[in-house]
Amino acid sequence: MKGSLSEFAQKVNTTTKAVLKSYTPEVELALGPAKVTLRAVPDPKKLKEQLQQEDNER
Amino acid sequence: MAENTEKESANLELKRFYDTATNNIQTSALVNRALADKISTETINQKVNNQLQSIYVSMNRINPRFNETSKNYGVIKKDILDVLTDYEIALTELSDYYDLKLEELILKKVELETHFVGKVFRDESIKQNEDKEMRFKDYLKSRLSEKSENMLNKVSSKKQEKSSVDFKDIRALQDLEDLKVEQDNRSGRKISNMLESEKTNQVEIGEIEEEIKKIEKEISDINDKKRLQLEEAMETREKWISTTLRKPSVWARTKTFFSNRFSTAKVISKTIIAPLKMKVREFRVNELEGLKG
Repeated sequence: MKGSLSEFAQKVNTTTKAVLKSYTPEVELALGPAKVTLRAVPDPKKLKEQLQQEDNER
Repeated sequence: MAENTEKESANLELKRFYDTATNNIQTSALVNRALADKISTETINQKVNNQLQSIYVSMNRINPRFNETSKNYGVIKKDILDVLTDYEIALTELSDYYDLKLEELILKKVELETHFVGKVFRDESIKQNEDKEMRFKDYLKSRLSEKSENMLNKVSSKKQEKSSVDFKDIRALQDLEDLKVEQDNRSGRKISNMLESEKTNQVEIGEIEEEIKKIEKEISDINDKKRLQLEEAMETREKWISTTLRKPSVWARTKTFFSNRFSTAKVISKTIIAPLKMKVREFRVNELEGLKG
């Protein structure tokens, strides 16, 4: 059974975090003292605008 | 000072790249998934509306006066709603089959794109390490050269003064020279390994980009296939024209007329609702079960 969009967003977040974890030493080395945090699900308004753009392109 | 400022601004650029890239990966995934949902919803709604229109037109053809006040209208209305709900559920199951595949592909794309970001950082860290190693190599070389020059001057001055040269000094000079060569070789090997890693990383980045392009194409193809399958689902496929046409008899036409006027509900149930129920049942058995394997 297909899940909801927010459930899918969680899966995306989990996948991204898991992959980036394996590159932590390189990311920390390259960024130096700058802090690195992975953002959560993007703003729904921005998402809506992007959907509209995709629709117009289609 | 200038070097530190340059390094800071490079770090900030990288941070910006990191934030933008990870944000884009997540947004793009959600947009793709939302688009897949939109295609399913639009196509299914269109088909259900078309089917409903078709039912109304057929009912009107049977008996234009059949309405809310007619006998058994409530029963027929309920039956129509039930069969349309079933019709919609069957279409949703078909679209879910494709949407689950799409979800897998989108998540795979997210994984690859994140690996791409990671490998860009790996590339940057290799370059930074190379830079560090080169600078350390130069520093060490200059320090060792300085020391051996000092030692050489010491030995030379002793020789000029015609005093005895300490064997230990000669050995120390020899050791310094050996150390210089050894450090040079070691640094050389390290840098060579780093260059090799950089090359491998670049190749991997290229492969990931290719893989992402393939997945994007596959997502687009599946969306198109899904739309086509939904549009064609439960449509009347066999279209044939009878070559031997006979005009119905007067009796048959009269019978139909009275049957339509006085047993409208029965006729609608038999000629509209039952065939549609059969279509949905056959679709589930023949096509949906076949897809699920």
